[in-house]
Amino acid sequence: MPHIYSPTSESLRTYLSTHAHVLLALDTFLLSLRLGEFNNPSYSDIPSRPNEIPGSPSFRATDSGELKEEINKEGRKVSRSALTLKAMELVRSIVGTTKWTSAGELLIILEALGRLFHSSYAKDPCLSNTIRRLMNLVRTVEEDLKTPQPTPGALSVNTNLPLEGNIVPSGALSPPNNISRSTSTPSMTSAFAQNSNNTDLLYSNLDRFRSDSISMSETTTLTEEGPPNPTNVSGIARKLPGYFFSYKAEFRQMVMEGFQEVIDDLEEGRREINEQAGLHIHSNEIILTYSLSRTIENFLLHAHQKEKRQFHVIIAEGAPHFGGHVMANKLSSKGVRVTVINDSAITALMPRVNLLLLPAHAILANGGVVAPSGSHLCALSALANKVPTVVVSSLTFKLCPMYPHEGQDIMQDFVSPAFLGVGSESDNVDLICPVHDYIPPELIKLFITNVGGVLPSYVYRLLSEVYCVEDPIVFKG
Amino acid sequence: MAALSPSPLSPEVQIVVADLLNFMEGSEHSDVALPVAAMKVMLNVIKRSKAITMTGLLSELEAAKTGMLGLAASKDICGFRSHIPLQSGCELFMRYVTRSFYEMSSDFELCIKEVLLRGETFAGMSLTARQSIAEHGCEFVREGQVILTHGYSRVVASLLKMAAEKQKKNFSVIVLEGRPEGGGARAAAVYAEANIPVTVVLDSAMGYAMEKADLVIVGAEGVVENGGVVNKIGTYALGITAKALNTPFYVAAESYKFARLYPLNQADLPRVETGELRFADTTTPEVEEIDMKKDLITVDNCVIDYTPAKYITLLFTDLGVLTPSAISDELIRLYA
Repeated sequence: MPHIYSPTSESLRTYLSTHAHVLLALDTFLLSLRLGEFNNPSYSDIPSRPNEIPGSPSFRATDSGELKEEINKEGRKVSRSALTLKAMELVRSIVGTTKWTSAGELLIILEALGRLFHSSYAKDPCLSNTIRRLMNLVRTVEEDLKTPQPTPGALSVNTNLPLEGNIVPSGALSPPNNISRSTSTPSMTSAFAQNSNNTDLLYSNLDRFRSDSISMSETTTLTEEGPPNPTNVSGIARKLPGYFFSYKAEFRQMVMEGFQEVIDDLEEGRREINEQAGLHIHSNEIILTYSLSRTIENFLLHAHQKEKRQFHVIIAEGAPHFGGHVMANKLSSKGVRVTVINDSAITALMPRVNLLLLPAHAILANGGVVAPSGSHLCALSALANKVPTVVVSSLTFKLCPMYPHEGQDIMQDFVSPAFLGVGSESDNVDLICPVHDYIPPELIKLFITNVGGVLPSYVYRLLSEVYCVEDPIVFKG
Repeated sequence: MAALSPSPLSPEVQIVVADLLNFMEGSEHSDVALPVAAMKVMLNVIKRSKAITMTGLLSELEAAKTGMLGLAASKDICGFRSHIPLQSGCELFMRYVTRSFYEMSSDFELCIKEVLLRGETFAGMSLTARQSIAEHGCEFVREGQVILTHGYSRVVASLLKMAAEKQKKNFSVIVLEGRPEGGGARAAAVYAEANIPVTVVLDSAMGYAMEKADLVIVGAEGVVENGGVVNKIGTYALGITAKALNTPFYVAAESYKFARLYPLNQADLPRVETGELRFADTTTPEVEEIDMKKDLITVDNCVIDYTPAKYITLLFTDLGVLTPSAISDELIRLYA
């Protein structure tokens, strides 16, 4: 039976060598990532501005109308949630068919996949986020299997706890897992955890958080019940306590169930967001939105069709990709009153607006967001006019554990500026076309997410619920 | 030692106080942080203790804590610093002892054995924490930036040194001189040693220096429950100035400095005894004048201030990078 000890591409390939079909599926997926088949069509290099606009630059091919058709059709197929779903299913097939034996080994496989995805498609954090979420799931399941469930409300007495500091993963000052869980009074747990189902998960995460930090020396070793060959282990698995490498009968099934839940979450996310539409969108309101977002489109349509709200949407066209035009067509065809404005008119219109809705490409650890370029201007203008800025986004794959400085390097994307079309042939003119903006948390009033309304200052808490600090922030090889 | 204290002390407290002074001796240049010294003192209390119950032991620890705080309040042992970290170190340790007691099925003997065993690791605690903070924080320093800092902080120094020496980033530092003890000069020497270009400016030049700075990083003596920090005098003004000019304001602090305090304003801070205001090197005629009319003039030589959370962008801690709002969660985790 092959084992995997290090999260590198080579060892994953060796590990998968007996499963040709899985390896093929992985390679096909990585190739399509590299070929840009999943690139966001709304930022595609081909202009979607209709040809008949006077003065449009001459570089456009005569068949651009046809091209635009195709891109839109593709756009349906390759949304980011579809990409994430596809990656998840691939991961599930790898994890489901290969013969790993312990949580430690599974974490190494996931880390290896994270690195492969990152090296093939670094500009989009959605894949890394999903892998990190799965890694946390694996850790949680393993911890649950390890620790006997304490009786709620009572002080649990665990005689199994080893006395020697060297096998306890926690450092000297860390609260032992089960004690802190059972001594936390009901009021304390319920006052801070929004979702009581998550409380346990949350607490175990925070325990890890803490034990990681105050451990004063290398107390974690792999000596007890270690992996077959602990010296070979590399990546994050090196820091895992020994029991992660022991076989547990129920583990596989529990993990696979957990994977299914994460996949369900991805599919359910939009519905949960839409259900809040009635709370935030009222009749006779004027709502401003920027460029194209399927989440916002669905959100607005839900308010209009299900909640029967009569409102007016102003859409900034979002030059030079003009996603706003597509958005306007989609909304107006369903009977929503729509006005399209050019981006430079945002400040002029803002005083009339009641609510600014913005999409998110990624939500960062400090509560700031990465959004389509131009959104920051909208948010600033909204602030100046005391218009609330609300970001509508699912958290399933957009919640990132990194802070803006880390995001700046990996998330900004530049596309062809051909259609900026200044019409100048001079070499002295530089044209660039960045895709994203960073909006700081101070400008955001609220996030509408699949777990409800969330303040930017609360994002750190969600992060500790879904990710483990010991997992890599960036999957670098 | 007892002669220095206002009231007669019990023999045990005298030993405790001597112990603390011993650990603090030369700590200016050693790597022993105040809370760590306090924990070592408490460890010694346990070693000497004849107590046979947890309650008995805890009351001995409580007496040791009171003794140490009493010393800190009556005499400047912390070098113009607040004794908040001393207090947080003591409380954290006592919390840890009680926890171990529950963990060990309320077996007193076993608990003491375990506490003493793990206690050995305390020595390396501040170094480990500092290392981890430096790793988290140095990513925020970017090529070509100008970093403004205030006084001398070991955490900030190790962070900047890691960015300069390990990551080979080029950046420069402006350091405020840091009256009254002038920690800025010391910091400047440390940075220069690490080949980081450094400029020293007057404390009163912070507004002038701020417009050149890309970010501010300061240390902390204590991090309080609402996410604000207690630090060297001038930090509050620095925070306000940074906010006014939209400069990110980062605080680097070890998690053992998290204190269960909730100051509402500057007056809520524990008073630090510093003696008289010293006009270090500016013996100008005006100053002489002030000295002569001393009975008419009150001199308030405060050495710490409180910076509310709203001025802080992020905190770099050994628990990771935290937003100020995450601090109260962490405190609940520590003391829950």
